[in-house]
Amino acid sequence: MPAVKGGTRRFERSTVNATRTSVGSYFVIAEPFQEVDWSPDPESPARQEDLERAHRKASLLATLLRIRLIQHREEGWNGYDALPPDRDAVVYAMTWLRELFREVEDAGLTWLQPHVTSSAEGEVVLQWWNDPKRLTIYFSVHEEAYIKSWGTDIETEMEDGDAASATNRARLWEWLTS
Amino acid sequence: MVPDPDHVADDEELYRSIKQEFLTTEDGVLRARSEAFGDREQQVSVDRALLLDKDPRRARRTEGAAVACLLASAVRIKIPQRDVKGREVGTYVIDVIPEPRPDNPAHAVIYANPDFVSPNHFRKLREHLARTHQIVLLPEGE
Repeated sequence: MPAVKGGTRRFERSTVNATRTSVGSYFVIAEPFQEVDWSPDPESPARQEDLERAHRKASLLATLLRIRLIQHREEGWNGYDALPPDRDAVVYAMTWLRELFREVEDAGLTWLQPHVTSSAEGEVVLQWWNDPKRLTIYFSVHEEAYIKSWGTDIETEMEDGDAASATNRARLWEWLTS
Repeated sequence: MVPDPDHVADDEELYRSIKQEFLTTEDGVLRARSEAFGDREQQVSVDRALLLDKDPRRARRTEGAAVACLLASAVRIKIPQRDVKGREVGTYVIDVIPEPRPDNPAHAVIYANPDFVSPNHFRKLREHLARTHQIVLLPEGE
């Protein structure tokens, strides 16, 4: 695991969910689905709630799989000169997203599935569009940064900052979904 | 109109090849996401439309890619450069200049002067480009 600028916070968090294999690649232990005690009445509110929860979890797992898949990109994958995604950034992004999902579920908020890609610099990028709002999170070995925008003007309609903390995640999500 | 080999005019159109995975639909309009304008050297490669006879198919970098069009005047913006306390200490000037290559005489680059200090500035520029382009060639069978 490389040194992480800005303290050990992320290192500690990452080791909770990620282990490194002898060949140097990471795999993340996916949270298994919990058994659902389905209500016998298919029309009951409880049954509908269980179904919706299952859909949201399936959405999360699909996104996590997409993040894992982008680590196989090679240099120049975008048709120009993009670097392949950094493997540590892949782990950080998966961990961050699972934490966000848990926080959103606990708070009973709406879950939105992000678009997954990587940047030319090798960062993993998650992006949500909720017109006109756009939220983009960049994951690298150095940082977890956000850009939020609601117009074209860089000075007055965009904002950047650190996306690492739960407090900032909650603030960003509230902004995106409000 | 004969393009100036040493200068990109404000009314010139610039093409950027866009892989299909960067495309999305917003209000029924096809748009490219910000990462479609990424570059590890913070110099966004584009092609001058006039030098491609305004044929966006010639700007494709990968088979079946879409092509976005930017207007040079919309690219040329100024961004205040601020210190950690938010005080304005200078200005980033975004420009587009010709950078012809042996294999691509239409090549030009969008860049900042001076170079961006924080990666967030370039991220915001990408977002600006993502909000100001038009898709002029649809993707095909990618």
